[in-house]
Amino acid sequence: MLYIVTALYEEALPFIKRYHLKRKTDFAHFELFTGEDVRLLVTRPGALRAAAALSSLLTAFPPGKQDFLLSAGCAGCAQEELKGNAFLICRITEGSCGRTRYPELLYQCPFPVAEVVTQAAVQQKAPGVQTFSSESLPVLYDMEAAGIYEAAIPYFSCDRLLFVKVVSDALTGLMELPAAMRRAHVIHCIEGIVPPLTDWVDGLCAHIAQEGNSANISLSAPCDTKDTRALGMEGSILYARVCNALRLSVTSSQHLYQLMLYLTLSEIPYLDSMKKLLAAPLAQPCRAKKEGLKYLGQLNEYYL
Amino acid sequence: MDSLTNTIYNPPWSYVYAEQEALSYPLAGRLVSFLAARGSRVLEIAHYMDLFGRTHQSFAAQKNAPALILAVKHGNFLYPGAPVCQNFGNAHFYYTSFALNCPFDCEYCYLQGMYPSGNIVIFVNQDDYFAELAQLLEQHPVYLCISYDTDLLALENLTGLTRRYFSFAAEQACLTTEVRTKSAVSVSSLADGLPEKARSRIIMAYTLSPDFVISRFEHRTPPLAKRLSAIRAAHEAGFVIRLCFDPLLAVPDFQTVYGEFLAQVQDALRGILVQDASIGVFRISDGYLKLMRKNRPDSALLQYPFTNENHVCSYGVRGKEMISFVKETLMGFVAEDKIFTL
Repeated sequence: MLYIVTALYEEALPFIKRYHLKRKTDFAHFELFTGEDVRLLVTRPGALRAAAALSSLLTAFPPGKQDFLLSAGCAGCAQEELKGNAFLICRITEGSCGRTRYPELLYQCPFPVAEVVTQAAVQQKAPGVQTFSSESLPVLYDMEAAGIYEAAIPYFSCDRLLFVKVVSDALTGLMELPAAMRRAHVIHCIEGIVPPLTDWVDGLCAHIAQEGNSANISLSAPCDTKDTRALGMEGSILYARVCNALRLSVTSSQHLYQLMLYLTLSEIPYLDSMKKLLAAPLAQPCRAKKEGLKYLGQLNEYYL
Repeated sequence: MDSLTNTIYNPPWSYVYAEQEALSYPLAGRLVSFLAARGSRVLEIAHYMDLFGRTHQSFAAQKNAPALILAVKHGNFLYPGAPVCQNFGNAHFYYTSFALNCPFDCEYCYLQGMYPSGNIVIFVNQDDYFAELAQLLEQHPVYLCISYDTDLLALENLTGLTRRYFSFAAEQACLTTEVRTKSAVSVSSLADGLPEKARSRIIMAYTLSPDFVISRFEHRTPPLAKRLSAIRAAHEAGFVIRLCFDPLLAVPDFQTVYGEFLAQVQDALRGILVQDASIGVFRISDGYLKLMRKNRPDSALLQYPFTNENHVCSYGVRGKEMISFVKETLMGFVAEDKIFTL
């Protein structure tokens, strides 16, 4: 699943068209568009609004370990020549306090890197406004990135957060344009980057999905609620049967699961031999936990 | 999958993060110039923990495209050796970290549980380490391990830290050094200019594993044959040789796999004087293991149902049998009193 976050509907529109998204009307308070494997949230401008909206979305629809979040939108930059260019953000600085966050830069990307400063209001061109950082990175100004990073990080690992910004104006906030032209300009800016951006992100999602069946492996949970998919269908059924037959406690169930998980991952065939070893309790469940523990000890001895 | 992985991830060290303070050090200057010339992008940071200590990092994902972080170390430079580490009979056992993390990617590595990040940190103020070490040496002799939380030799071509350390150590008569490595970097050139006495105080400790283990669990490390060649070269250069069979892993058919491996080692190193050997099974604190399993949920090695004794997870009785087997096989090749077990 890909989560896309934009501040404005105009920034979202090219993605809505690209992914054929539909408005989800039963998601209250915020504009959410959904499609096959994509959720797009329009937060409205401002870091606080963005954080509130994204938090609400991620609480309602918690992301999986393989999911990505793409924050895409327009930003200003004092350097006129950079208008229309897209950048992958490598540093997000909160303008009000100077706190800095570093999105991960693991993946090869079609866009160069830049820094973004998140301000509470539209940054206007003024003397002293930074154009390039000390490392010659373009410095962009937006109003959401810091809020999105903070809201997203409890749900995603760093490497799943992607921030891409297009320079829409030279720190004018596009105020020189009438409203209709302003909207059209924003759409045009995003449209220009959607093909390479979505190709890149779709490629990443496909790769990670292919790589990451392992992410579904559950590490711990009590017997009756355990996600045992990693053991396979037959293994899961046997696990549940053995837990009941041996009257295993939560801790002992965990020991059994760990043994079965190890055998599964090591590709050591164990299903038939385990059924044979436990033929008696599987036919007639143990009367006492102590008896079950004895069998569990025998399993450990046999397989390890 | 490997070729696909190569196309989506950046090459290692495509991004170099440098503390502003670190940039004034010559080592940082050299590294930045070298890597920038190879296309790396250098980004300044205020403090290395702003990057290295971030929450919700994926150690495993970062291993696919590690960043290099250049930092200045403050506070303590030398630490007393931990009880789970072998001191080889040395009374004043210390270790130090010129770098954090290593370029290899061993599935069992405890650093996955210890550090929040898979990126590599290089501390550029080596002289500050030397100053503290010199002070300690005024009090008593020191046995110092310089390659514990990293593989310093694997980073040598980039950093030159080992060479620089050897120059310092050559002047210190009461300093014995262990350099532990899995790399096959030839150390012959590091011996240049070092007096014979100085070389005899430097122990090159090679961690050896069967190729079965290397290919499955010690990702990006050199194969056994290359490590054995490196040992021969280190011996010829006059360094003291230590063999580390640590960690032994409970692989299926353990005695065959390790029996053949030990025969290969003895055959390849015939005629080489091995000072001592250490043997230990995989052991890890339960807290670290929990993090490591979370990081690598599909690792059969980490999902082994370990025995937990006093918060240390290991193979229990089976582990003791594994150690006995390796020790018995090694006797004759290494004197019994020179085989240290943990």
